[in-house]
Amino acid sequence: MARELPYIAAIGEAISEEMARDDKVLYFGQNIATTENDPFLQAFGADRVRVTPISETAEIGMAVGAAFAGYRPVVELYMAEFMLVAMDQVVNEAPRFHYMTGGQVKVPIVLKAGYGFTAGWSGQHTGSIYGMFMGVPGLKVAVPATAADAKGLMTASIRDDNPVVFFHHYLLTLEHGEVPEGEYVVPLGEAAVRREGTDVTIVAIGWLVDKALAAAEQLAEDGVSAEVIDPRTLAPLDTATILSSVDKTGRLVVVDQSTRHGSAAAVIAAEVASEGFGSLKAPIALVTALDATIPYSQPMEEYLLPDEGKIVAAVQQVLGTSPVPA
Amino acid sequence: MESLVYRLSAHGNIIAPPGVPLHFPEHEAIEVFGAPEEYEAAKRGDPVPRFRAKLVTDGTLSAEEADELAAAAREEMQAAVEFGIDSPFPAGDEATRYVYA
Repeated sequence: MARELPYIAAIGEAISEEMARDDKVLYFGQNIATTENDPFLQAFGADRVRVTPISETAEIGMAVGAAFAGYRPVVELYMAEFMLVAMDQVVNEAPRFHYMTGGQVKVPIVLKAGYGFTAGWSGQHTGSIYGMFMGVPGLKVAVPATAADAKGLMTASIRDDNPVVFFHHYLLTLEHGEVPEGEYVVPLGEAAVRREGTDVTIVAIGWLVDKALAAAEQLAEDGVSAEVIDPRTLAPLDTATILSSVDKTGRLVVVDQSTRHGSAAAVIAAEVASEGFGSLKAPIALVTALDATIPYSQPMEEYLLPDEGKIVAAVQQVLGTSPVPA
Repeated sequence: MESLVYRLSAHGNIIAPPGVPLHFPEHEAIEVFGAPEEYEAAKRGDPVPRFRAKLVTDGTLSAEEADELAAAAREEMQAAVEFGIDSPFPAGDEATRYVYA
């Protein structure tokens, strides 16, 4: 049975169900279990649910150590940028040990990190910084776009034997969607085709999946059939599904809230240019944020970010149907 | 060196724009941790009024001069707020200025 749940509640449900299923799953962060009324604390006790000091280096370092000892910690980081003060633990420790020990050591941790809060939150809490992590060998990166995927990918992330950065989008926090009850797993590394089409492939990430679907609806009114693909995880990246779609449509638009030169879109475009060049009937178009810090002022924020209109324009460009300026 | 500093405003409240509900209507010391005495003690320890009292007591400032300084500071802040609210929105393409020096 499925029922409507907000995206953020779906994530909490996955953590709660996995903690009930496996007593090795731990949960800690800076603003959980601050009082005795915390539902996780009440359900699972202070040995497994802890508030931490304001030190990501300590939190994530502790998670890596606990993982060595056989636990499966989930670290609540709130803002993705808070990982930046612990890059040694995130990039140079957690994902390297399995490789460097010849497979003897596993580091099954989940770093739960909110991103993309582009609603006037300005420069330091708004980045879509998954591009910095998707190229780190050994690290997996999940970017759920729906409430159901938020649950299914969190479950898969906790069960995965590798470190996973689970990026949840702040603008989706209270978006409701159908979420299956009980055990629900969305495998890491499988893209979803959100809409089938034949004229153009739109690959969109996170919050922009809905914008791409809205753009596809708008394009359908002009007789354009757009296929919309949500990669769901960026590492592993399901290039096979994207290539197979481009093989069918011959055209690709990649939509990503990241700054262009640090985007997942650039990597996806490179994969298709390299492996699917023969299928392409037009150059690949990227719809990304411009290479600047997210500004506070609304018109500047809108100027910088992808939106439905920019996606439609990019599709018209690759189809050669852009309106001619008067 | 360790410096013990108490945050007198509740977390996040200072950046909430008009119309957005406060993250903590009451300071966390009261709302989350149930420690109103600690919070009241911290407010009594607020260094700004303590420093003002010290300057007035040792004769560096008269009470009137201290009041004038505080009023001038308040006026300067109010003028900055009004300037911000009364200014037109910037053009969208201002967004790519100042990326590099």
